[in-house]
Amino acid sequence: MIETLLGFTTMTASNSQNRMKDFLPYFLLAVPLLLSLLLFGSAGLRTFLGFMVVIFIPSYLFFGFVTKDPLERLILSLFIGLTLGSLLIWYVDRIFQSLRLSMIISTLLFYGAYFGTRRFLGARTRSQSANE
Amino acid sequence: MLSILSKHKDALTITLLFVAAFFLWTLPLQKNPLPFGEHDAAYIFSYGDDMSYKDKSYNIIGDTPLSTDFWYAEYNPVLGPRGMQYPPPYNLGYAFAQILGGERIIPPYLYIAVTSFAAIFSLYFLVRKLYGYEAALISSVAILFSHRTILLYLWGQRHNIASFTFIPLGVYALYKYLDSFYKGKEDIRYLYLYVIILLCTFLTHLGASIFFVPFTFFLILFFILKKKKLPYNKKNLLHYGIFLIICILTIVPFYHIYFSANAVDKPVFALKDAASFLQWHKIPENNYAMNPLFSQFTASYSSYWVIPLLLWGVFTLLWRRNTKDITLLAVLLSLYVIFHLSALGLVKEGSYRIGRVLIVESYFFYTVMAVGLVSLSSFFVRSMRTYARYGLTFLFIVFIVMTQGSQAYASLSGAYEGISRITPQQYEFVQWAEQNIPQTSAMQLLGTLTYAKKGFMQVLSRRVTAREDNLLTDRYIVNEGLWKEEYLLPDYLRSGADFVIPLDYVVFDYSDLQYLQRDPRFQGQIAALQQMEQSIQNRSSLIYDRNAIRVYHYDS
Repeated sequence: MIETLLGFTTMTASNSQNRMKDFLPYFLLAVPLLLSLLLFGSAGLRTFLGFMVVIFIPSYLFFGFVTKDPLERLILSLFIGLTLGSLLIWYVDRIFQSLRLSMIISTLLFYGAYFGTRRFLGARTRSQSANE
Repeated sequence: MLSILSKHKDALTITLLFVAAFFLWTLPLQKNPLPFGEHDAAYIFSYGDDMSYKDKSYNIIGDTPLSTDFWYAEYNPVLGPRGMQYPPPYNLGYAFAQILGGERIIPPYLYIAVTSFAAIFSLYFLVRKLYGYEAALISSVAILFSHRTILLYLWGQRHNIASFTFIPLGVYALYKYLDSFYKGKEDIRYLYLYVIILLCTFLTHLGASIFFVPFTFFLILFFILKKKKLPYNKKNLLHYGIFLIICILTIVPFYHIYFSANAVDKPVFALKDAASFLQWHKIPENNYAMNPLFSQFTASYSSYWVIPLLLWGVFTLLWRRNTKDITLLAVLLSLYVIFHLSALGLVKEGSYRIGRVLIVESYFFYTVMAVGLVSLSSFFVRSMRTYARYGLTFLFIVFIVMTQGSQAYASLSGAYEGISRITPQQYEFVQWAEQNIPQTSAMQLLGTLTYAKKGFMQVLSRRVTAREDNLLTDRYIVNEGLWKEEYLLPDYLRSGADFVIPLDYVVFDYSDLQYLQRDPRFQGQIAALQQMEQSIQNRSSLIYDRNAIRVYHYDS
């Protein structure tokens, strides 16, 4: 999602209509944020945004390695990510004994692990292609 | 434009369902930003609230909120009074919400609402994959207004609901694995997903994990009967070993939370009520210790006329018996077994744990109705079938919205109004209590209208609170013989072998009763409270007097 958001900023007028179709799901992602802001003010917005950044986005990114089906990826990452992400933060907190710090460290670990895994898999794919 | 909508109809549908669900299920919070629920809701709230307050998540023992010390002190003899009663993840969500949202009440209640209505999405996903868009839309809209789920959400068994939301995902994962295996394109990822989803239910609430025991057995059995082959592959031994290790690593740390508790039913297999097997579900005399509306058929399904549709759906499944249909049949059979566990002596009769599974019945009854309804389109001429499918879907959704939808709106918009939930005056008092009543003392709370409100005041004040309605003469709250060396408890709570705390404060809360003083039913209660207050005035000091709430500190 981060890569496609970056791609969105560089789209040209000629391919904007095609790009718009691909970005519709991400625009729809803004709906819960807007709704929570409308109904509950900054507390609502912060809650949703916080969960997205700390748990849901990393989970969604990781599930890209598991499945290419968009609906599977979305639903499974939401449910499993919330439970296992919370459990991982709990284990990190056993070490650091500060929940806030553990959340920050875990979030960095989640994103780091994702980019690390992606790089590793990318290097492995390139190496396999070179051997062939 | 239409092609964009068509390509993204799942994303659009899920978004619209979310908007509707979020607006509807947060109605109690939109009108009043203070916490609501019964005393279980307060207890569960206390865990996450305390973790964010202390900036520390709980160890398995020793860390739970001191306000709950004497609440379920004897619940777990192995872990003790401060042992966790649930694995961490669900309760941690409350803490995350408070930390991320920056407030104490609204953010965790948003988390509660979303995790309670999340079954809309897991069910949409399952039914979409198995039966298509129209059936998914019907079942998920029906669950959006699920009467039983709304009741448990309002009352407070929220972690139980949250764990049930995983069930459609587990059904999907096991179906996908077995289906891929028997098609000769085994996809082991789905078996991993199944194991992970099982463990997620274990980590949230064991109630959902129990469902998967009969479901796994029946689905594998049905596939074996259909395909005449065992779903076993020698090459997967390594994966089976990994599953075992994952399960052991996940379950072992939290084993005692569930299996050392006193409240666990000890099964004694015996046929107790053979006649009940002739019924889909026999509601016990105690209505599962819940409001009878919870188990009432028409309250959840609007009318008995949906029964023919349900039966038609079951007939359709039995007639076709493809792999998707036998999956749904395995679910129904699993529910049937769970509802009859008490007839086999495996659980106590009238156990509320079985009663809560009625929520899962709603998920799959509506799914079966959706399957039956969509199948009716096959009776139309080929050129009209698509329109018939759309038309039937539309009509049923309109029916659901007008019946279940209006009921849901009424329940949620009128939930815990006025003094039926904690008031701003009481919230102001608990904040004072947290700052001014020492942790080493307890208070008795008298006069607050309901036991549930007292629970919330206890939890929000972060102080041990006696909630009896009559003035206690004993100056200590005691759990005799409860103290054990292995429990991680502070010394001030110990007196010999007993678990004690001094009861140094008493609160006379007239703030609810002042609104009811003209109601003759409450005259006696007000008079009794005033008498109790007079009886202690000569041996205590008034230290708080605001908003019709008075606090006395007993003289030493």
